[in-house]
Amino acid sequence: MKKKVLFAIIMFIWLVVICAFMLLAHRVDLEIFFVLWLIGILVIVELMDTRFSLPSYLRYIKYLVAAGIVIFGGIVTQKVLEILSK
Amino acid sequence: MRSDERYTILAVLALVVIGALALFVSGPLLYTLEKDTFPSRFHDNPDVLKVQALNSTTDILPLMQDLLDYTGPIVLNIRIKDIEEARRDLELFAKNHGSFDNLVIKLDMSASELEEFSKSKALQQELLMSLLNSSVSLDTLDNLEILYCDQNNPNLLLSVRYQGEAIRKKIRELYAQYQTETEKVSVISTKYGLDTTQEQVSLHEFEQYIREIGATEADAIERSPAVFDLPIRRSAQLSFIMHPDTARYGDSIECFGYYFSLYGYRDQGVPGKQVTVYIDTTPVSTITTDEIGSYAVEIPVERIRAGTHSLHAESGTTQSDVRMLNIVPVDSVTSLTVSTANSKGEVTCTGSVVANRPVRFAPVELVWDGSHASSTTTDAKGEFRAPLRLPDGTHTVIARFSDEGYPIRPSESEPQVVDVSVLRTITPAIIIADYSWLVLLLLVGGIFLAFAGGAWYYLKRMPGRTFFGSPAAPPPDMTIPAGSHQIAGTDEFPPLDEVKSEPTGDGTAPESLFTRYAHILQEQGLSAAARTVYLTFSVRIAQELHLQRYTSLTPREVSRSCTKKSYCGPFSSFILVYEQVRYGGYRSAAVQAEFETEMKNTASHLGGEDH
Repeated sequence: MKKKVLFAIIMFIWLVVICAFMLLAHRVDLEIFFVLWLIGILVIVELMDTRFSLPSYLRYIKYLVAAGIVIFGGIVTQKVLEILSK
Repeated sequence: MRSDERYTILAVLALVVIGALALFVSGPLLYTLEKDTFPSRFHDNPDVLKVQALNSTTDILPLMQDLLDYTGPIVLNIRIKDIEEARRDLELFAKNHGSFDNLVIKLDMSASELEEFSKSKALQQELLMSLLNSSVSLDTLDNLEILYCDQNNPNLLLSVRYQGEAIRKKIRELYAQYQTETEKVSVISTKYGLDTTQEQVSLHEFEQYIREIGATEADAIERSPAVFDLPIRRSAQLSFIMHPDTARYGDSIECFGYYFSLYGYRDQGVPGKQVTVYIDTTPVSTITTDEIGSYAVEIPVERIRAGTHSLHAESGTTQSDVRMLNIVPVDSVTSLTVSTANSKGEVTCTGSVVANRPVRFAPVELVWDGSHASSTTTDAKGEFRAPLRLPDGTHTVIARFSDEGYPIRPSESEPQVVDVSVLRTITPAIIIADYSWLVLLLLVGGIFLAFAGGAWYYLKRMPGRTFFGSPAAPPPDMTIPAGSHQIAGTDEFPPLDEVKSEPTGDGTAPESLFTRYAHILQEQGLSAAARTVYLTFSVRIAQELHLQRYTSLTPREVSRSCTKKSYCGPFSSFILVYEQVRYGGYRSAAVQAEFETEMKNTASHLGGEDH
């Protein structure tokens, strides 16, 4: 199976698992969903990355991860401000 | 469907989903069991109550029981006229209810039965406070009734009686409301297995109290003369009674009376009449008579001079008798706290003015060094807070309250010494306090930049490398067979055809490219020698052009990546011959000569790039 397809399948399973646990916990929180998605994609990309070549699809996924890290920084900043305002 | 159309549709769908999610950025918590709301009370989710009960039993149930146990003694004390005790219990009740309310919010139990319980308890507290005040007023009226009865003053006696009747009616209404709230509280408490005995006691005591005040009323009617000897006047009459006749700052003066007119041979109350109460000649309150013609108003003693004042009521041209009110002056206490000076020499003065009770909205003078003054005003809690800019040096600051408009004697605070020095020690705490916005901005920017840097590093890093370290050793086939130079990751690339400048570790000079080529040609043949030369060139070009994964590129891909460089033409020609030698299997002397020519040409161009 191609790596690209494998990535899509694993990502789908991971998101389904996150959604299932959120429903079981009676708590649907976008922040938690986003952070778990980021952790998942980071692990998957790290495992499927190659050493001597960079396929274009992997490059695009890495751009997505980089955007995710920046958004995560925004969330951390927001939380710090919330704590300071208390 | 073409692939670009598919990708366009996919991109649009992704953008729609991201846009929809962006709407919830401000409140990312979309759903929780506790937040779940239902259209009516019949749709409550029993799971929520179960979870809440399990999570909070240890915290909340004892507090609920305490709240249940307060009401019985309070009503009993009101009934036996122990007003001080009842007031103390009510204060404790209010304090505990505040704690309970905070706990409900902290445990996120809003929209639950516990919040209903809290609301009912708040209402009970208000009702009991009203009952206490009404009880005090009723006692005062009873005393006045006896007084006016003895004085044979039928006019005032009638007013007092009507006022008493109005208060009794109000107490009966309070009872009806109290009964409803007590039932609600009892139902919820029983669900949680709490003891509601005191609630039932309070209801019983309340009922008894109502019976008692009913009996008092009957006694009074029996006691009073059957026929009042009222002077016959054709015009309307307005009675005016006030209590007490001596007051201090913060007290309340209860004023009430009765507006009646002669209809035939009977006096009858006139409802809906505007009555204005005057202190001296200043109107202080306007009210309307109720359905039996009586009126009542409470006047707080605040900004009024000490001494004797006349009070009366007026309605149109009808004027009541004048009563005298004595306002007794009280001492006051002014407190002051001065903060340390900030870098601009500003101090913050905080304090309060108290006289019997907190003095509200009163002017306060802040005097420094006895000669400079600045004024401020107390708030609704009798507290003030004002900034004061002081020059360098040591200063004495006092707060002074002095206003003849209040029945309060002047007072001033203890002098506070504050040092505003030019050579202020600039501590990190002062810097943070003065430039808190800048610190916050730097903090936020720093965090955000750190994450942005992390994202950049993530994009630029290569797998297999240590953190910011040198790249791992190349695979075995990448090593140049002859000499000590490694192809991949060589930071110090030696000049291509120079042998004299860098001695090797064993004291001999490093080989030039051509010497290496000659060695390998002799030992392994033209193909291996050509490979060595190509790898040397490609390492050099990769370093020049920052090609990260150059080892995975074909010779033609490497030659295509250097199009804008001057060595690109010779290198492309070199690649053509290299491919003939390496892949085409040409090993003739002519091809070797051509290869060596192109090699020298490329080497001279690469060497002339000023590296």
